[in-house]
Amino acid sequence: MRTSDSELLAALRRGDELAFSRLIDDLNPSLLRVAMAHVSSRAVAEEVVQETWLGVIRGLDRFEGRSSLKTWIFRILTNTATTRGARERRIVPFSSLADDDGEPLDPDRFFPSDHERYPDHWALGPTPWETPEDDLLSAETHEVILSAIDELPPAQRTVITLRDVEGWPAAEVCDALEISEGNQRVLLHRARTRVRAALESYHDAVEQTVAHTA
Amino acid sequence: MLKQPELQCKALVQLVTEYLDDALAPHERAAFERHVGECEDCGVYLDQMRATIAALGELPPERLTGSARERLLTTFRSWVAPV
Repeated sequence: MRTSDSELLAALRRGDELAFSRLIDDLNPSLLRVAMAHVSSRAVAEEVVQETWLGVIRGLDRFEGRSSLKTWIFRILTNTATTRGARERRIVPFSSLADDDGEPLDPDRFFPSDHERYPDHWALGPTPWETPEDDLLSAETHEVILSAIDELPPAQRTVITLRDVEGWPAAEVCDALEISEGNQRVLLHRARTRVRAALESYHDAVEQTVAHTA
Repeated sequence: MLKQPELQCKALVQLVTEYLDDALAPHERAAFERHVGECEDCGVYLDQMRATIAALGELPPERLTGSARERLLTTFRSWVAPV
């Protein structure tokens, strides 16, 4: 067990409330997002997170430290969310990486492989986003990104949430979700490709409006 | 010596995450960087993927409501330190 983990665990077992409140503040954003990937509403996701913490509190004495504390907590969350999602019939088993949702990037944007001058080159390349950096931080952009994430298949949604939204390192994501590094990367790449495409459509629409009004 | 087939745009866009995770073999990485250096469209695409990842990291955090947090702390108090 990592030192930081064993210290934290000892504090939790002692009933150190500050340690517990730090831990929930630290992990709740990720727990909520992952829960939302499994169930149909924010309200149910909050219940799943609550149930997870109850499971953590009850399990503290049994936790043996074979995985990191964080991984253990996420396993409890996944189990809870899976049960809940099954009841709601929304769940797609996470292990089924048959998340086959077609091409994340339209293949028609490239010339065909047998094109005589430009095989497999861009036919319709990306237009640079002529908007100030700040625009990527706007509330509207957040909405575009959130709805793009919401439309992803569950496994992609979970991986991009942990890696890019919550900033977890790849190894921790693989560990918590029990998937290989290769699978993790494929899911992440497909998810990022789709979110970029959503931002691209948004930028194109904004620029058209600007051109129209000008 | 057999010449390695050139990396084309359609294949390059598939490698962006591997590139950013530094998971490409050295010769693949070199081919990737050579291509991006010469191809404006792929350069734009790579920038946009980076911008997308940066924007994902800027989403405001999700939080439990204050009352839910309070309930958890109460449970923790009563479970871990029973009177």
